[in-house]
Amino acid sequence: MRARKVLRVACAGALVAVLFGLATGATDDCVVSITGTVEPFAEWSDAAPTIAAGDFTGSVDGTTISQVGEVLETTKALTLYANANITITAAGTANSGIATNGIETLTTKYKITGNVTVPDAAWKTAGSGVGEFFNAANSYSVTHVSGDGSYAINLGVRLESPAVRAADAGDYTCSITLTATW
Amino acid sequence: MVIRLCAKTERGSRPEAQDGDVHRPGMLRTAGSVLAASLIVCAASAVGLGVTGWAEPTGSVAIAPSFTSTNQANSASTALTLNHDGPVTLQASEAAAGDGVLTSPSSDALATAYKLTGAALGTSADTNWVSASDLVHPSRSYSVEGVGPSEITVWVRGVTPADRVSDAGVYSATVILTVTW
Repeated sequence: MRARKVLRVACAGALVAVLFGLATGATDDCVVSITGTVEPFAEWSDAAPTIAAGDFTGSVDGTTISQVGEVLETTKALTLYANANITITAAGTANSGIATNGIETLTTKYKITGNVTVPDAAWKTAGSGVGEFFNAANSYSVTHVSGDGSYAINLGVRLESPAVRAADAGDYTCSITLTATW
Repeated sequence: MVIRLCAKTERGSRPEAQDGDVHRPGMLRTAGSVLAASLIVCAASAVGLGVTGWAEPTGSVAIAPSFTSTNQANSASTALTLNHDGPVTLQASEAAAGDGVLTSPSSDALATAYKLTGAALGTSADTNWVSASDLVHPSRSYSVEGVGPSEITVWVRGVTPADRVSDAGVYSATVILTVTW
């Protein structure tokens, strides 16, 4: 009789303990879901890159023009970050994109190569005329590949001194703007 | 509320058991049955009220604003209510490897970090961001002190890469917070 009572009490205790969650090792989960959105966008790794006089090569003395009809060239490696298909266009800004020293200018040409659909095979003169570098119809396409959000864009610059006279001595400067549109 | 209900039921059964009636053994059994049934009802009520456990089985965090540049960090949080009648342990895990990392449909990923905060976490609350992998491999453990309900705030941060643009789209992640007592 006493044993049955003890058994009943034990069973009741165990039942209460289990139902009240007093047993160790019990768990409960909360599943947390997180979302965030990445918009289509593009940006240049360097928004204001520069090409210094010392970056040019090709002349007799290396980096400066010291003869008539001499040519300097350089290629500036740019990086375009993008997660959408991009169109790049160019515009002349300071000195209309033509290397200038006072009233003196050097013939200035450009070309774009790298991860563009149709890279330039030849130099294009700084100007807005048909076939020239700043012409509105002159654009470059970059096709985005999923997971590859970085594209190499190479800007070539060519400076030519006049063939029949010596250009004024001094520093020649200009700037251009490359615009990525998506 | 549960304890008061139990006491009331016990008081109601006692007079019957002390009557000294000739049918006392049978009445005792009846009283015992009533008491047991009351205990079960009380216990079931307690379980239903969630003495220990999350107030809601799910939570959500929407990171805003959208990501529109490289190396951009955006974060958001949600407050979860944890019911507990004593100290418990909180751990995070993933249903599948990588679930805790914000991932796009194209399988691109954002650097994802978490923070769990709340007064009840005491010294185990995060003061710095914890990467998704450090949160779940091995599962980071948090001590919840005292008696609830306690508010546990889950912070989530996504960061776009610095050297490229992540694919456009909606990135999602899931973590499981398990309370053990």
